[in-house]
Amino acid sequence: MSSAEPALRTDGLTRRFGQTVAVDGVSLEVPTGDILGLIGPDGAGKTTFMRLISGVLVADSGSAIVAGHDVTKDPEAVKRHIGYLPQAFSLYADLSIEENIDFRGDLYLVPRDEVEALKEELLEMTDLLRFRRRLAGRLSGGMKQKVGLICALINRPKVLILDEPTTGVDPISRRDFWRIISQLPDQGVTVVLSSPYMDEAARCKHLVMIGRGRVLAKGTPPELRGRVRGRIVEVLAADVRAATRVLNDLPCVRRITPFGDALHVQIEAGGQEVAIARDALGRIGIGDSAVQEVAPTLEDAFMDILAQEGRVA
Amino acid sequence: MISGSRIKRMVAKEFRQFFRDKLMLGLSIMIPILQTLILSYAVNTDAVNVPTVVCDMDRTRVSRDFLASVTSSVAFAVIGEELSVHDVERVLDRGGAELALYIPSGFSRDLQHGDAQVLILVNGADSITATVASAYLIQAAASYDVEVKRETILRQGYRADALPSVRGETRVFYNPDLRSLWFMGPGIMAILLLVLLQSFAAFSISKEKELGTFEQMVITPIRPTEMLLGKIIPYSLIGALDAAAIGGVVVWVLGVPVRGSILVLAAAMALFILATLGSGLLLSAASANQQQAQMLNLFLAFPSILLSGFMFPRENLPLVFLWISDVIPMTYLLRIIRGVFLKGTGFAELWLPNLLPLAVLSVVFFVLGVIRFHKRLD
Repeated sequence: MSSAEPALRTDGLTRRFGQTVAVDGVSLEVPTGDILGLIGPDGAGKTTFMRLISGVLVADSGSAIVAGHDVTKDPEAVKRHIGYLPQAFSLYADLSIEENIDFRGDLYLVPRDEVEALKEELLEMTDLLRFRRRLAGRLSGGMKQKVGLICALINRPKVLILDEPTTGVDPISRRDFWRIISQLPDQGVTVVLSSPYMDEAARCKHLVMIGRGRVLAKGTPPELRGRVRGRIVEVLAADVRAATRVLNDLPCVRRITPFGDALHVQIEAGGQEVAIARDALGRIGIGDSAVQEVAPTLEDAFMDILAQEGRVA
Repeated sequence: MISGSRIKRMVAKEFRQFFRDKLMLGLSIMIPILQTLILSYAVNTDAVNVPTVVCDMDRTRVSRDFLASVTSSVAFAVIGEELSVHDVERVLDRGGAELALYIPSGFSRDLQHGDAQVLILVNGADSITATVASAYLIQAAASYDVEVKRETILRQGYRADALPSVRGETRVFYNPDLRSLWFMGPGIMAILLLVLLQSFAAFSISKEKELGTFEQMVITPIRPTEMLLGKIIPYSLIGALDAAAIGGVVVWVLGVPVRGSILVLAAAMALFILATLGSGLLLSAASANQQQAQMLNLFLAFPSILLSGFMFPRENLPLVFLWISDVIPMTYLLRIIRGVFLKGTGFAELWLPNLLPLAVLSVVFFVLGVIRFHKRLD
């Protein structure tokens, strides 16, 4: 960690909804200029966590210092210094792109000329300049999210919080999105985002895996990949079901995960076990060339960490 | 610290959206004007041209004379003559007539003996018309009765000025012709303002909640007060304009006189707008989407229509409803409006009994609305 004050520090942050503990004692420290990805299954508490650190939701216990302000004591001060793009974000359908951005700037009391300059730059970067006068109600999903991102940046936040910003967004818009995100750390902006896409998670500097409201694992993407127990074997099989059946009978196979049109098979450590799997597959006509040991992906790490957690719980 | 410039921008945004929605804009201008006209003419409790059938089983000069005299009023339109009481009933069943006058045979003979009876059949399904029209008919029969007695006595050699008689003279104050238009018009002005404004206020917030733009504001440092003022200022202005438009129609189109002070009227309206926006805020706080807001809006408008004295006299209300009526701003506004329009009542007479309670209620509703308004999501 750098000696400077972290952009975000939470300590035992907890929030319940009735019987469910949505966020359960989360303690994190995110250095300035980081891109932190929150990953975890649906309902893990990622959205609640983001709402808590944004000052939108009040925590039951614990604390969070965001952009230098204590969110439990002064949520409005935190709001001034962060940008937050909620998952269920929506624009005023009857206002144009530009009017939506201007209004957002007004809410932060950003001087109009500053809004003007930043808006111009961001619209340019997101390829939206020529649509500036189009009503937000007539934008595609990807365009809407890009405008949402611009809105979240209009107050020049120190911390940018993005809740599944690219879900349902086309690949080109997603590229535009990341073009902006990846240059934010250089400007001293810290980004906290959640994503269901592992390729996106791989672009983050740090990842935190959340399950049932608790932190299951944290580290850089390579660190998390390194946590996978045993080895990963990729199997290209025409008859996926037959291959799955054969592999399931082997005691050394921990888990089989469909991965594109291949199977990722996690095998207990040791070269011996990999050979056993190769043999078994060979007997149903899946040759050696179709079975290949690969480096674990984030997805493998994700599944493995979840499985470990499942055993503990 | 509240920022005036943030409020200004918020108001500008509200107006921009309001004027951009051509349908809403059109409706907010046309609804008050058209509704005032329609309601004022439609909600008419005067009985005019009530379709009436007659059945004269006596068929004498006397019975014809009686019929002609009684049905000569503009209240009735004789649309047919039936031949039996059976036929009369059939016409009423069919809905062909609202009222029937049946003269039994032997009417003229009974009249001579001082004991003639006629039968009035009324369609009670439409009780307002029935009550008014049958009252007219009974009154007409009574004055025929007096006239006949008078003639008989005169024929027996009495001098007309020697006849004892009592005559009740009615002088109706403020609305001499008892035009229901005069009575309804100003009241409708208040009702429309209520329904329109309350829904504007409620919808402008519940719409943002439903569409998710509310969340966009919650995540910014805008203060709840600024948000509220940003909503209230534009809708107060629109409310004031609507009130003026409806007032114009009531005065210039319906011809209802304004005998009192416009200033008192304006003050009462302003207070009422405050109360209505307050209840609109309460309503939006209680509803998660526009549909709920719509239902609540209707639900909250009913007491103001039914219990305020707008349609039915407050004096007839059971005690519990009378208490409710006492805390409805509309009750006081109506008295002020009718007072100013028709009676020429001034500030001095209206202040304590009506303006003060209206002011208190307005502040209470408004404060409640503001308290219940939260800038948060859970």
